[in-house]
Amino acid sequence: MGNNKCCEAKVKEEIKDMEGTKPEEVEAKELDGFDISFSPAVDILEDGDLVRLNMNLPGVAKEDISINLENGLLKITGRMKKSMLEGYNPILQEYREGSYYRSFRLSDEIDAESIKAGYKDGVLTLELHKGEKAKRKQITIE
Amino acid sequence: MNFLRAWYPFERGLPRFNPFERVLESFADRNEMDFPLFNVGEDKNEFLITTELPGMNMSDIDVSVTNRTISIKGEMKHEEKKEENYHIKERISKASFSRHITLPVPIDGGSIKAQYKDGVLSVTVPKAEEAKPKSISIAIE
Repeated sequence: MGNNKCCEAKVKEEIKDMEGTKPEEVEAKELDGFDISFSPAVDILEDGDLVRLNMNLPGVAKEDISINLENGLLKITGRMKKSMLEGYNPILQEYREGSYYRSFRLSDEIDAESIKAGYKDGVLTLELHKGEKAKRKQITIE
Repeated sequence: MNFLRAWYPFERGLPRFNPFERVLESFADRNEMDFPLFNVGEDKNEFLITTELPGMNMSDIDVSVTNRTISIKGEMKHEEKKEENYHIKERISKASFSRHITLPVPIDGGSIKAQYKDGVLSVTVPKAEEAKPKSISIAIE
């Protein structure tokens, strides 16, 4: 078990939650929908060489999700274009609707080329693979 | 045993739009009856009930009607891995829920439609003929 703890601590550096950071270039006025009001709930789990990210984006259509990776910063935006209750007179509102944004800092160990994304029933799934860099390289002095 | 507690949303007053207040409220009276949360809209002919249930199968959601009451039941189960595999775990992975909502006017229970799209369940409930607004033209003699 001691070994597991050691590895877990190391793994945490591979994907760092940047919650609380603002989407710099995604200004609210650019969005043709709701303002960004939510940091979506996420599960990040590790399965050998695979890091899987599941994110809840209920109410967002597949084409309104953008996933952007730049300089190791993974940004996920889900735009809510219109309220589900559009055209209706709201008489009970227990939850709020809005667009979603969350970003993560990826370490060098993640192979950016191999990231795969899927979306089904309001859940975005990303598969991130640990690349060659994950295996420590020994450099010899010539 | 408040499992069968009746829930009368329309007696609670109008919705509140102050988000801060909502946060406080959701902590204040949180219990199993408060999941999932509902939004309800109304027009001349029907009600629309929406609720966010990401990652479910439509076959695990059960919508039923008795008189003016719509019941939504279901079971949410995501793949469950060992605790140490998770870096972050925020999503609800297991929940069985049952909530009902009583609408303020008679409804046409036979024509209710439920749709599940992008993780949101929406239930369209037509009003009964007698509950729809009518305009009557009165001839002046």
